[in-house]
Amino acid sequence: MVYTLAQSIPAQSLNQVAPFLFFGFAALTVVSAWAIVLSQNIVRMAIYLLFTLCGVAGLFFLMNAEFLAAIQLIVYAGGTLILIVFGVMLTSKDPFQKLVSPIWEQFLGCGIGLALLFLLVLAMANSVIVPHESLGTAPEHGVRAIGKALLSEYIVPFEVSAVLLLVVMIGAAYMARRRA
Amino acid sequence: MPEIWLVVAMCAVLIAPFVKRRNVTIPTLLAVAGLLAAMLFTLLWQSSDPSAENFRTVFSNSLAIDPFSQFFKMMLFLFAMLIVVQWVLIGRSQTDALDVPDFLCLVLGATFGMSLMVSANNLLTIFIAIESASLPSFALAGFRKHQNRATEGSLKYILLGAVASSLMIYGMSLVYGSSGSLDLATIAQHASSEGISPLMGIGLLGMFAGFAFKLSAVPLHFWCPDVFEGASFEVTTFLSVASKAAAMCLLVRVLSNFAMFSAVESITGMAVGLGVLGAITATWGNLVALHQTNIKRLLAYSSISHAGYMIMGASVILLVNPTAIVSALLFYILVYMFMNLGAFTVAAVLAAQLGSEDIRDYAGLIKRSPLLSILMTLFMLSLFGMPGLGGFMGKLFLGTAMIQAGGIGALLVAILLLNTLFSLWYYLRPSYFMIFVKPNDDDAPSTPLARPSTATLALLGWCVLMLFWTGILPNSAIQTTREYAAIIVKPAVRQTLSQSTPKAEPKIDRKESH
Repeated sequence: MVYTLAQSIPAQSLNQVAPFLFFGFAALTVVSAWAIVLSQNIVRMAIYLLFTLCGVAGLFFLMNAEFLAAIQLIVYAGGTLILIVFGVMLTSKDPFQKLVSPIWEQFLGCGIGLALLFLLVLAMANSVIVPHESLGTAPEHGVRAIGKALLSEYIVPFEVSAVLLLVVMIGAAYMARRRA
Repeated sequence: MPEIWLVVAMCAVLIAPFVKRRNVTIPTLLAVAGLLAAMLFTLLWQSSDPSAENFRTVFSNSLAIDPFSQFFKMMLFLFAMLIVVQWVLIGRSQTDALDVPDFLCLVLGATFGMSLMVSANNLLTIFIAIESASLPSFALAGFRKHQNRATEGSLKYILLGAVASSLMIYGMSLVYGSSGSLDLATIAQHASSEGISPLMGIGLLGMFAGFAFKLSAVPLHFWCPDVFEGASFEVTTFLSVASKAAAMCLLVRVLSNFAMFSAVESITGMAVGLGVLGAITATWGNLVALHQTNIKRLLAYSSISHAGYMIMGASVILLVNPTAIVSALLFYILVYMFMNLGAFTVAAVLAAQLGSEDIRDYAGLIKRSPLLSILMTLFMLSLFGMPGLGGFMGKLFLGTAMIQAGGIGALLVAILLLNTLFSLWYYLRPSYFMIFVKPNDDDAPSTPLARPSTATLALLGWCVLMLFWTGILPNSAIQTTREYAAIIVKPAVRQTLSQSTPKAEPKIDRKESH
């Protein structure tokens, strides 16, 4: 659906609103990410996470990565988030449990976060970022190209992840199994 | 692709219970058969034509098939087989018959990931390979799920592993973003022609953090002692050797790519950084090991310091001709494998009989079981680096290769020497308790321990033989590793870079004449 939507919008009009959309989605992502950090209730955190993930999906969408945006919505917003809520429901005795970390941990976290931010901003300011020509002008990109690449150039990671999932499933089944 | 046999064996092991429920022998034999097939396949590949024709990368540069990776794969499959043997001898009685296929499947799965780690030649394959080595290891670490220590160790392993993986994938995305390619050689080419931008530097830092976690290098080593203490002996042995050695080989491949294309001046910083990381890891591991009383924790810190020695060695790859250092590392891994297997097996036998992993309970053991005491002392001395045993030769080759790097190399060798001297104290502590300390309470049992089974003695005897062989007559072994110390470095054919790339070398052969 997202894909057909992307096809139906004329490119010209999208270009004009793109900056506004970018700031809108970025603000949604950042503000709800802040809300996750500041919130003390895990269910609320999960809901704020939903907005963050949707914002990121919107950013992908603006970068012409419709497939990635759709995957982001399906896998993260649709799957992982539900898992988190289920996990809370199944394990926590009280769904409104408050998660409060000690003050020194809050300071430590803030310090490390700010240091990383500073480092990244500094690095980005000092690096020349060359946009890759191939990205914007490639004759075909999107689902078809991804599918082709997965089954030709990136066949090894693709197949190995299949084996990886098998092993992980066995490990998880073993951990969850009750003693016979 | 010898790994296919591992996947086949994994599936066969899983199907076995449907044929005969609660049978232990069939899955074990199937796992060993799969490992044997993988090993034979690796052997056949290189006996067919071990010339330069066989240096190749397959699947559009995703995997590199070169003598270096083949040699390590053979060692890895052999080691995994020995682990299965060790488990049959010691741990099988503690494993429920229904859990046997799961255990074997996880071991095979981890081996699969590790053997891919050695061949991985682009960022995507590296990440997937590391994950498929890590995730089964998490499950293996918590395999004794009814013990709190195992669960604690496994949980710490998973959490730290998740942090390290996310750092690594973020770093990789930055590297990809700034170089425009996933291929290691193309990235190295880009780094040499355009210079390493700050963004790419941070990316590389994140990527190396992921490797450091697998190597248990010092800021990311916290999982190691807890996991080792909680897991059963065969899992501990497996993780202490195979997982670290595979990560080491991956590091060597990445560094070789950088060494191939870049001028020495531009990557000296990277070499110094890695050397410092290795030095800190070795020193920290040794210092903390000094006051450990649990044999597993002691060997865990010992494995951290050995990883430190190997990182120090690997850092020199960037500065000098890599053949000597790569062959020294392969030799070191070979020796380290047998030392650790021996030490952990003796500790496992003792733990089964004494019911304790505390080295203070080893008091007076020389009278109760002279054979095991002597074997333990021998393995510990080899880990320390006693002349005449393999550990000494490993350190000697590593040191002589490092010293070629001039001032930095000499400093690293000095650190290696100092650390070795330090380590003597804790490596001899179990033996000190066995030989010189009398059990203080009078009602301590003084009956001789039961003689270990013949198969266990054969396993230990083989380890001892390998140590003496590599220690006294190391020539043939080092000759072999020197022949296999060739790493293929080949940039991807399809250039995704928008900038014009420097000359496209079709194939660069790193095999130096010897």
